[in-house]
Amino acid sequence: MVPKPTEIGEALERFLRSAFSIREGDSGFDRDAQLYDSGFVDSAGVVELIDFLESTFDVGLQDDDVFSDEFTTINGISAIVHQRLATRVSPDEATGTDAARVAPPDR
Amino acid sequence: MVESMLRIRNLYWADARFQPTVPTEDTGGLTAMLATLRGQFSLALPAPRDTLILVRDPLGVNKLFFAIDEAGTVMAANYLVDLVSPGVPFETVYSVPAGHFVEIDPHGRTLSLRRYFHPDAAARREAPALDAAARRIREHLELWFARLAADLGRRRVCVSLSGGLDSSMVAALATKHFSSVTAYTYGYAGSDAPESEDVRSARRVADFLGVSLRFVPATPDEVLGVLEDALCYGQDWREFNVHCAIVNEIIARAIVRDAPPAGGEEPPLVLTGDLMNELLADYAPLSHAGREIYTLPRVGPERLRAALVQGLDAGDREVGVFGHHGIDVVQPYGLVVDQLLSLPAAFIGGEGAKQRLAREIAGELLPSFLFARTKARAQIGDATGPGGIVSTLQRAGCDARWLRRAFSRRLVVEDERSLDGFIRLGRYRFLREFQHGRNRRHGPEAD
Repeated sequence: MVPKPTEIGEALERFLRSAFSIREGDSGFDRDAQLYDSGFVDSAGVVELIDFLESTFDVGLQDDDVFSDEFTTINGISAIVHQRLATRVSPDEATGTDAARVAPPDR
Repeated sequence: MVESMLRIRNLYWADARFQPTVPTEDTGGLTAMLATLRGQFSLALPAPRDTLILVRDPLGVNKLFFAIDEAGTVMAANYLVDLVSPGVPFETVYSVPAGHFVEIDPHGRTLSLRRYFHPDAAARREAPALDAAARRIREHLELWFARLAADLGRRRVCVSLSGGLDSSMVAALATKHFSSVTAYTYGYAGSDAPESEDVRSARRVADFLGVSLRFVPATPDEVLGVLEDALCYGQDWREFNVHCAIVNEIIARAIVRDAPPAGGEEPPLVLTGDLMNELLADYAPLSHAGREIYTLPRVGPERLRAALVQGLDAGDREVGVFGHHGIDVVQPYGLVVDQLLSLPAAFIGGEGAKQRLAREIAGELLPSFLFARTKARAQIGDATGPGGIVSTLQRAGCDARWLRRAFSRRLVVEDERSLDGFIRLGRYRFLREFQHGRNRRHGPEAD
């Protein structure tokens, strides 16, 4: 089962808040916030972010993914990860969800 | 069609052949040929049907920037400043990524980006036991030093010796293969600081190897005096690369002062131990004055190595800095990239991994104290005492934010925020497709 983009987004948001100490009340941070331009994730942090995505979702990201304009927001990244996962399973499976798989590891 | 401002000399080999012709008749032949090349190069090659091919070396040691103006002229340069000074807007400058080539048809307005070198492919190869892997690395290093001596041995040869394992191993092999070698080492020259531990280590290594050591001291004023050139020719604003570029700028000036270039003479050659830390993921964040500097991603050694190797794409702390003084740099560890990348995670990263490997590779060539020594960084000096580039810059208020601003001023970056998109994930900005209408040249020449 491939997790929905919203589920990937939830897991990613939890990871980012925890790994980069982003406060719950930070009004500038949401799933459309520019992660790099707004300073939420620095150059070292991007590597950790990719490491999180690849290990949590068992997905291999390519240059086309991580250097795309979409790979700058939680929603954009979630869409890319979802698409990568969906293209390696059958179309029927791609619409399903598996919440257990998207739960981030405790940090 | 192409305005070439490529002024860094290319130094590359296909097996034993020095600087062979690179064919451009078909991309299949080009890709096959490029896969055999090792060394450092940035090439702008006219190709059939009025196209142009820009090629950059596997690790991105030489930099290759380009912009395309409205008339379809491709301007290619090793230095950003060579593009922005005549009026090319910084925001329209792109890079050819390491290990890639770009084929541009300026009139048909097409551009294609292709990768020919895959660091992951080398990293995935199965490696033998540590001693066998080390033997293989040593054999290839000997082979490459023999090639360097045969093709570049007529030059004045210098080694940038920090006093650490990597540069000491390069110095040892250089001493074996070249008839005359001078080691250069930088040291902080503040009145409040005794000679630092890394300088003392460099002296001991030079004595052991029997090479003459040229100690290059620099006062805080001298450090600050080279900062602008370090930013401009180091082509980076990030602290680690700027600090390294300062050390190299100071050494480069000393090399030129010691023997000013004479007409018709081949340029000096500097050998350095750079790249080994990236290829073995042997970096750790440092603490200085209660602050963590040189932050690294908190990931495992293989992921860290991949990120560090990819990060070689951006920043020009050695070749660019020495190059603008007319000095060529060779980083021998980059020539054995395949052998170093094939080392599995168990051999890299972690306490003592570098020492174990270095001892296996060239233990008999080096003094034993080196293997027990705690790593020190030239830009910091002695971690326990005063002095060093980091302290000097901090006292002068040249922190990370200041460096960004200074870089933006020097490289005519109108909107400083665009720097965030200029280096991302360790790579300079690159193009995947032809950009219509973004390639206008402005400034005095176009007005």
